[in-house]
Amino acid sequence: MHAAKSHGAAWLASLVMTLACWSGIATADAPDGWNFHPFDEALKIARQEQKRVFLYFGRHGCPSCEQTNRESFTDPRVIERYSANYVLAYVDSESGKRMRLPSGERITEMELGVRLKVFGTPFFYFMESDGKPILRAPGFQTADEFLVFDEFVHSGRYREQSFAEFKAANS
Amino acid sequence: MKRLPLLLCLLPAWACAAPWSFGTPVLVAGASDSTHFHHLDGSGRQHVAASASEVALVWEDDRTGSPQIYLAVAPREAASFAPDVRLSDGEEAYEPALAALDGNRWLAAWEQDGAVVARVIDAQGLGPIQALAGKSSRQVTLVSDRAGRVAALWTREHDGGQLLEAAELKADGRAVALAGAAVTVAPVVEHPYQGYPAGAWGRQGRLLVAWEDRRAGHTRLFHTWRDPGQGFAAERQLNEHNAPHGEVPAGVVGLGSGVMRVVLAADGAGNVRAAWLDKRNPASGYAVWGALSQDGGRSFGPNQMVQDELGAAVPQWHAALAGGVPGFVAAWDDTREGWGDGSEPGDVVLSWNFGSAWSPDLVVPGASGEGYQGSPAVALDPQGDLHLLWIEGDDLSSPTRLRYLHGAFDPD
Repeated sequence: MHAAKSHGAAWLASLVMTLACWSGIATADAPDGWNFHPFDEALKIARQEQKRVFLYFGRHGCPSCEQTNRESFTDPRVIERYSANYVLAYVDSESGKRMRLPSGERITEMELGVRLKVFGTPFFYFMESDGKPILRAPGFQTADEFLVFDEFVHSGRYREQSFAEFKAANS
Repeated sequence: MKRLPLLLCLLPAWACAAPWSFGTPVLVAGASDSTHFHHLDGSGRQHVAASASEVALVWEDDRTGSPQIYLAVAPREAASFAPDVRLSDGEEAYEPALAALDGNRWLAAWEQDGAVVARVIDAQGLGPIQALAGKSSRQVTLVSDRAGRVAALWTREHDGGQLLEAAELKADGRAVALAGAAVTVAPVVEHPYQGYPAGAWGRQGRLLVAWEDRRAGHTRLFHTWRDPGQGFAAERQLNEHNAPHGEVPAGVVGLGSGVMRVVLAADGAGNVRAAWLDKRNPASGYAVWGALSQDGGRSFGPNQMVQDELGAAVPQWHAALAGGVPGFVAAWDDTREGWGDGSEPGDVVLSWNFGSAWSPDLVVPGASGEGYQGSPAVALDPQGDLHLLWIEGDDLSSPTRLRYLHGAFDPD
């Protein structure tokens, strides 16, 4: 157990260093070092592992995605909680890459954005393992906001109250 | 909020007067208890083609358990289509395109098992399937005109990315073949990403091409052209990067606002229009923007918003474009009529431009209302009639049906 923790800490440190060194014009694709999967693969893994899905809609060249990657997804607390609590999925909202939905339908990543009403990027969805949406969060989010989302979703509080109620009760 | 047509009709009377008299929507494929899914997602959205006497439709659906390509043909103004025919014969097929040839023949192209193929269809049956490009080719579109010229554009994997190729085609009877070697359209750079081509024929055999390019770390749209016997001209950027509505955040350099799925059309009189999805105003998602070329496709004027301001509050998707005798018509889907009440899934919307300005938007009767109507494709026939195809479903995730609508050109 200690060995696993030690290995995890080293991995996190390495990841943070990698991301901290990242500079210049980024393409705002999935952040390096995070174990993002294609959406359909993520749903399969989520069903197998009985985990929820954290879905990140990005766009090639999206400034706010780049800001999110640089400022929020380098926070060790966010990396640790999201890696532990969710199966991570990344979708390029302009991509023609194909995936198979639970219904059996084959669609593109762009079309998934149409279905989920992703009007801008970044756009984040928390989902049950069957793909049912729990919470959605459009736009840039700080590391602290990501931690609040995680508290709301991972604790299961979303079954009892809205996110607005949760935030009001915990502010 | 599904009642916005009332508001639309408070606009000047001409705003509601479409230049087409619409018929009754026709069910093309998929029953009310359909359990499969249809897609109209070919590069350039060339899913409808029309001759002076017939109209043909091409799409992908998974009725057999795998995605395959189907074609349906009907006489112009017919109340129904003949039973559809399957065109593809591989394990999986995607993203078809369709062009009208002379003699009521049709040319379809699509991606099949990882390569671009094509075949001719006429009243007697199907021609042989012909490979247009090798493995790892996709995103094919067709370019045809009334003079019988036809070309194909596609992308091919290269150096960890993909590049764009073009070839003119010859279709003799029911046989199709490359008329010459395929050539690259744009400079081959390291790790290229050139995607989703669209094409049109300008005057005197000028081939016009537009596409997406990601080399700068964000997506830009480019266009080029070539005259018969010449190479392609130097590419030019089509979308304005930092357009008036675009706000690039301070400290962020070189990242774009988001553009995708450009389409091209010519009116046969020397004018060429491009349209695409453009997110330069990030608050409301993608909008339909476009540009006009009045020099036969050598250069395009300033970017213009195609949709009206009423549509600017909601995102637009799946922009299609056609040109012909009366001018140009654009089609897309959006949720303006369900905005805010959750009933939204989507309606098909049209705007037309017969001179210098795009009309106020028309939420298409018969392609709007409860449920989802979207992903349209559009064509104008030689008489100026409108041919519109779209996908409908009970909602955005339910099994789908294909519907078609004919609009008789009625300029008065």
